[in-house]
Amino acid sequence: MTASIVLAWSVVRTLLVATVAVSTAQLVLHRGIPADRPLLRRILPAALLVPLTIPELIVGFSWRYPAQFLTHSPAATEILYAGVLLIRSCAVALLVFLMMPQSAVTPESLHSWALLPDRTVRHRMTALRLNLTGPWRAFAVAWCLTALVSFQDFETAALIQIDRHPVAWTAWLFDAHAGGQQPSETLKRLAGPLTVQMALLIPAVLLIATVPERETESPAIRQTGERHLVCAVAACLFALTGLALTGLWPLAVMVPEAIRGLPLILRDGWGLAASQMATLGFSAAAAATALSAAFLLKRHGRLLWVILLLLPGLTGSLAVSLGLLRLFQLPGLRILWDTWLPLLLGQSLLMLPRAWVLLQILDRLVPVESLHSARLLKTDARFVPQARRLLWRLQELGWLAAVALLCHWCLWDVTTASILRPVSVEPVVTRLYREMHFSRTESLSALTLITMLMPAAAAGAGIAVRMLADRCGRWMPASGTPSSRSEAVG
Amino acid sequence: MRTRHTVTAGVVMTVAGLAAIVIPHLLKDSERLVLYCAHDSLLADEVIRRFEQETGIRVDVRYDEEASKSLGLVRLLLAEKDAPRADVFWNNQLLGTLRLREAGVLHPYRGVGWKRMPDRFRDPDGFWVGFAARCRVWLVHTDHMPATQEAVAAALQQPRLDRCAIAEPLFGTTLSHYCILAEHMGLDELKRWHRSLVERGIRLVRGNSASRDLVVRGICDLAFTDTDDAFAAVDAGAPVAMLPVRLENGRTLCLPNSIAIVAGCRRLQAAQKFVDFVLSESTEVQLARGVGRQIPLGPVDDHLLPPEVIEMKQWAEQAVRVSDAAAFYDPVIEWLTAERTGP
Repeated sequence: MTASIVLAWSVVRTLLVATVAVSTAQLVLHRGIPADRPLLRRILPAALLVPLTIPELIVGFSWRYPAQFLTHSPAATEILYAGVLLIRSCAVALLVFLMMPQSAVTPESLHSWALLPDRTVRHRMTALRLNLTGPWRAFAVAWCLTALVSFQDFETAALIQIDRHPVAWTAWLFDAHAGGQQPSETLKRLAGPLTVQMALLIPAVLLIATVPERETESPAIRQTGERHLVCAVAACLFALTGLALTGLWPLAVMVPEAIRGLPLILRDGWGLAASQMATLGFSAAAAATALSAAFLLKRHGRLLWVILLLLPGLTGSLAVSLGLLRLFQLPGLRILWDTWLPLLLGQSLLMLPRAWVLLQILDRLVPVESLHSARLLKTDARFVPQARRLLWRLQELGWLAAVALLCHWCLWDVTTASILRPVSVEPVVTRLYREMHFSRTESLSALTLITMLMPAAAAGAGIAVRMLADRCGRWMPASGTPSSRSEAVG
Repeated sequence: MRTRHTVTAGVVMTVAGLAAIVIPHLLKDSERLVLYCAHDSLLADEVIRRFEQETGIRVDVRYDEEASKSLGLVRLLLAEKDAPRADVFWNNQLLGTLRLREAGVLHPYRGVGWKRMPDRFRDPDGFWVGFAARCRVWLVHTDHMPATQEAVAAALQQPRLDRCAIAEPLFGTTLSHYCILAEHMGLDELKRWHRSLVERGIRLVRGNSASRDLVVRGICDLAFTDTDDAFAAVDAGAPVAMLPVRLENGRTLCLPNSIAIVAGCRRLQAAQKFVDFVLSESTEVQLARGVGRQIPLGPVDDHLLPPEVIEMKQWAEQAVRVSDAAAFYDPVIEWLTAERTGP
């Protein structure tokens, strides 16, 4: 099968999955969530977003055996794979719809423009621009990002054997590389997929850039308030299917074994704890680096810089890892090869686009007025503890959650870890990947469960420490000084 | 002013972070042996820990991930050729090691371990030594068909092979299997045979454990796999049996582990100690008594071996010489890669 056929197959799948996912997400938000059911309005979107937090490795391993039953039916295998992709893509689309502000271009203004007698190309281009920066913006951004996520999938494709008929370009390219293809040839063959990804990424970034800073309007998709029972039921069913495919099924496979395996792995208590802590610490460092870089980029970066720096991460883990492998074999950089630096750099680059998106979300979630008020409050020595608590809730908690989520994604990134890690310490995920191959399921399931819970547990510990510090702070003198006041106001 | 402070703090933190990463690396214990190991970590770990206890030399291990997924230690060693970080390479088969020998990545050593192995399982110049082997076997679901060579031969003659599985031949021991077949029957005949299997619908899966699982779950009646994967199914109580894969001349396919010292390594003495340790009788017995039942290739006391390993020793004695197939390594990979990725 040639590169162009594989690419065409992947592109067609991506187009279909992205279109269905965006339409479904829009339908769920627009029609499926009854306005008079506040509980459902909270639970349904949250349920649809769950698949984003389940590591692809876990999903792939859970569906590995069921996929074996389908090895003789390319259509059934394709449907299973597209279904898993669709659930994840739908979650991405939903996330975009929830964070994108509503269009500032009203339907009335678009209608007025359409009524103008002018029919020149310029007139039509302006109409297109108005639509793209107006009512079509959320849909277009969601479609582009959804397609990008779907197109880049690697772990799931490799694990449920989407490598021949049907085929995914990522698994195909990796097999060609592992089978002996020269790295330069692999990087050359990345040109096609890279072009596709750029074609998806650039419009998305340009459209996001048209969103005014600190948009305060409500989300682009409003609940209509009308009751659409069929749509609501369909939305619930879709959310449940997504949860079942990517959350409940993996948990059902894993948890009973994990409980039985817990005593087995606790025997290796210290070794396991050291390995877990090293992995967690390193993932947290990569997550914090990515988030800090995204923050600087968002604050000071121009659009060109944003695109240039987000691009490597958007090419996927294989391309990033192979590129860095070659880079650190250059004479001047070889000394750094067996350190944590290549892996830190690789994971930070990989996480940078996600960190950038998370910052956009955090910005949308916190009302700017509240944040400003809390900062002003901090300048008054009498209210410093209260201001700190407010700032913690409004800002720092979100940052902590973002670091925890990025850390979770770093922790489960097998490709980068297996290619770029130093010899002396093995990340938990490569050990899991290797040993899952040999079916030591009970202790492995326990280890998997612990690894999955670690970032959340660390974030929980962080929250507890912060709350404790807050409580202690109540009994301590306030520390607001004139100089800090002026800085906080600034 | 505030921005300047932020940038300065950022630069200071970055420099401090980089220093924290690089300095420990520069100061780290230079006596720690670095081992690249493609063998199953669950089995190799026991050998390595015993070596550490007996010699006091600490070992940092870099294991391979599943063949179809990892970049591959052979490729990594080739990439690091000019500045190797590994001292010893423990491969779970032989052909990749032969490729490294041709590329000048290995260092010769003819120690006591080399001396105890038969000629056909070692390099005459000491660039590599084979030990603790596996055999290629048919895994048969005994509820679905009799576990006999005749029944397997009859099953392979069927017009449809959708109840038969084989791992992707571009990777792992199946690649070695194909190279041996190419050497035995010629590359063109191998291509015809492979095409016939594919056209009749044989299930091509990712790895020997996956082909084993298809039989264990009753999706397939028989599959090509290795003895260590097959024993995992037998030990789990699955209704399966194994038969050695034989060539037309009756020879079996026995694939040894291989061990070699990396050229330009920084801890040559420790590397030599480790190689001799791994090639010792005690290690071969340990691996034979492990879950993988690796077949000892050097002289060992049979009383120390499980009965099934003693039976497999006969298979190993009837085996073809794997290193003779090395000439077909590149042509077979080239053909299989072209099959998958096009010209």
